[in-house]
Amino acid sequence: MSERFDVVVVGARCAGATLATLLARQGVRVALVERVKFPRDTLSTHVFEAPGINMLGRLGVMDRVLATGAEPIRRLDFRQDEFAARLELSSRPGDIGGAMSVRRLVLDPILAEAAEEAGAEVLMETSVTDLVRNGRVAGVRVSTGASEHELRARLIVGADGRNSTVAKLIGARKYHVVPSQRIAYWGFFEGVDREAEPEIVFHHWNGRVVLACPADSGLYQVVVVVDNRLLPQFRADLERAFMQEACACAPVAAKLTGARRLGKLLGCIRWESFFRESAGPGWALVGDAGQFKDPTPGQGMTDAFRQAGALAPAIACAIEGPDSELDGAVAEWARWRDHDAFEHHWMACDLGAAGRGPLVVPAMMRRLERRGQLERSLDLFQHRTVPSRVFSPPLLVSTAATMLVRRQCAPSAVLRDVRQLVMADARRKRLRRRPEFVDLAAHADAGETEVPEAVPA
Amino acid sequence: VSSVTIEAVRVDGVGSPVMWAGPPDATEAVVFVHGNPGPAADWLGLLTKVGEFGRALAPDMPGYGDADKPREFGYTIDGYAEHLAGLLDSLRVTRAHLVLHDFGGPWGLAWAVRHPDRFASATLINTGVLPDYTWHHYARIWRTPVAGDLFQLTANRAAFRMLLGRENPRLSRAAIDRIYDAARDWPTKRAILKLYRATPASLMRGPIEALRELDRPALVLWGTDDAYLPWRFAETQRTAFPSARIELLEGLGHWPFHEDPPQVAELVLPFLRAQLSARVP
Repeated sequence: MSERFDVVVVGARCAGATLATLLARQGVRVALVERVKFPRDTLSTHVFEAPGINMLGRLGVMDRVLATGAEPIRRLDFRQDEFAARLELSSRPGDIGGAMSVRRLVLDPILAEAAEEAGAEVLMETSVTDLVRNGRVAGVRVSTGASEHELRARLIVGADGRNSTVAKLIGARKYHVVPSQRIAYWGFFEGVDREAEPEIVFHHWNGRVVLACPADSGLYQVVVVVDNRLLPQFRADLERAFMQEACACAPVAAKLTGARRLGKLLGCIRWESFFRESAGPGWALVGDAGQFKDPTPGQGMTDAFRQAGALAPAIACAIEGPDSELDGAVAEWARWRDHDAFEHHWMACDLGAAGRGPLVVPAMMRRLERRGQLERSLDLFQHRTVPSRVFSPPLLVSTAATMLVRRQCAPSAVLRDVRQLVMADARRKRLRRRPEFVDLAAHADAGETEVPEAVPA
Repeated sequence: VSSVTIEAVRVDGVGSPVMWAGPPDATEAVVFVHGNPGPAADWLGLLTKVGEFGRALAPDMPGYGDADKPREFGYTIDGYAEHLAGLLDSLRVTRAHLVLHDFGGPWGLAWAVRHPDRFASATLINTGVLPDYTWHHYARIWRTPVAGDLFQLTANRAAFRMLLGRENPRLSRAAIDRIYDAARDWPTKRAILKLYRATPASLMRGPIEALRELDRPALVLWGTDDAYLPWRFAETQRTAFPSARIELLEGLGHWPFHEDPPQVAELVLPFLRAQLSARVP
């Protein structure tokens, strides 16, 4: 049995369902294939930012998402080592908030439903077993229960996450690969007082990160990201280690007093941040499948929404044309994706690096605050600007010079930080021109996700 | 799908071909005005779709596309507004829904306040009234004597691709090439120099008070990554169009209709459909 579509999208979560909805709305015949049956949890920071929130509006699901009790968050309790501030998350007219957290158990079914309503053929519990090739990728072989069949299409899009089956079948090479130096655990709590003005906590200090915010259904989400060295403690007594780290962050400790955890603590260890070749004849990779970034800044979901938003028009405008036009349009999108994700990928790696951050960073933030530019610089967390524009070379130089003149800390430490930042930047500029690809044969898939197979809804 | 026709039209001796779709005899029309460098072909996708429910016109304005590019044309906001007036007279349009982009904004809005009886609604795409605007970097070069001429003389495809590609990451290579080709011949380059040199940034403010008085329906779309006309001006349009609906287009740049045609169509077409079916007061 074989069915024909314009596009088959594999993976029905943030990137896949969004892409399928936008395409189907343009009259493109789309099949949306999902391996599991929703609701099913997945590795996620759950937090996404304004561009992602706005996409919910475009998809027409905002009411449904807000009905889950998820709250648009406009305030930020921020700490970067010795710099701390309570800030208004940057926003633009039309934004309803700067961040939001919705459990994937709740969010993903809403997104898949929107794709179905837009006219996409949604196939749940359907796994991809192979590709159909005829000089180009021309379809996927899928299995549903006991039956196997072929879905043929002009374009196959892998939106199936960082361990993408589609990417593996294609043999897409990885580049800009960075192994993780931390472990991440997260949990949801009930019985936490709701504030009139919901706030997200992002504290990065002494080599650890605690991120917390209100989520859907009256829950409160807490994520701790700590050094790999602490893995034995987390393995020995997860509950204790998690609470100890979470409560090291004062505002979170206050919240969790008297709160009860709902469900298990989930974790992720030994992941790697990477890019994958994301376009070729008859195929594309979107979201985590094409670029997985360190979860610390919580930008994976936002980027999935943004990337799908950019890929949809590229496909919709070229799908009527010849193969060469479609492949060209998708290749151009992939070049944009590389450009768009590059600086943020390295920022996520820097935030996720073990040990404490460079001394000059909090000093640069203080300087931005004095200039009244700090809130504007939060556009960085919205993926609406790039690190090189916020932490520009002139800012780095003037901050370091001031630190040296005022002798605020050991001159050698300041100079070492500056040298490291400058060298890292030079190396990245080189990599941008000439990426280092990872040999697939010699490279085993990294990353373990401690997400239980089935989580009760 | 409606068919598109190109018709030769002359205004005061200046040839200004008009691309049109939909019923040719309707006196109510959607009028698409391109910016710099346009030309009318910018609107092809939207024009075809509007043609399915109404009369739609898109002229090549003097100096651009296949229009005449005479040395002595008045390459000023007023000159273009007058040309547009003559064009709509000869096409017998008595009720116009303007769709404007870039410099088409100042031209079209200048026409609008002089013909309030004919001006029905405005769709502003990365344009509008621009109080306290400071010229973008290319405009500053064009406005500088000698430097502007040299820039225009030495511009080539490779440099253009690099510069525009960097400033407009969502624009396809083909779209960048079309923009380059649209501004390639010397008479167009000369028209650009004359227009920008005749237009101090203060003139970009536009007739805010007169427009506010009219309070016409308006839809404002603005790409948030526009490198030339920043999105902050989107909200400013409310000073001239108090009832405007304003939509920021996340991550799009100066040419949203090239960068994400479906998203622009999804917003513009329902608005125009509603305007065309609205009762004439």
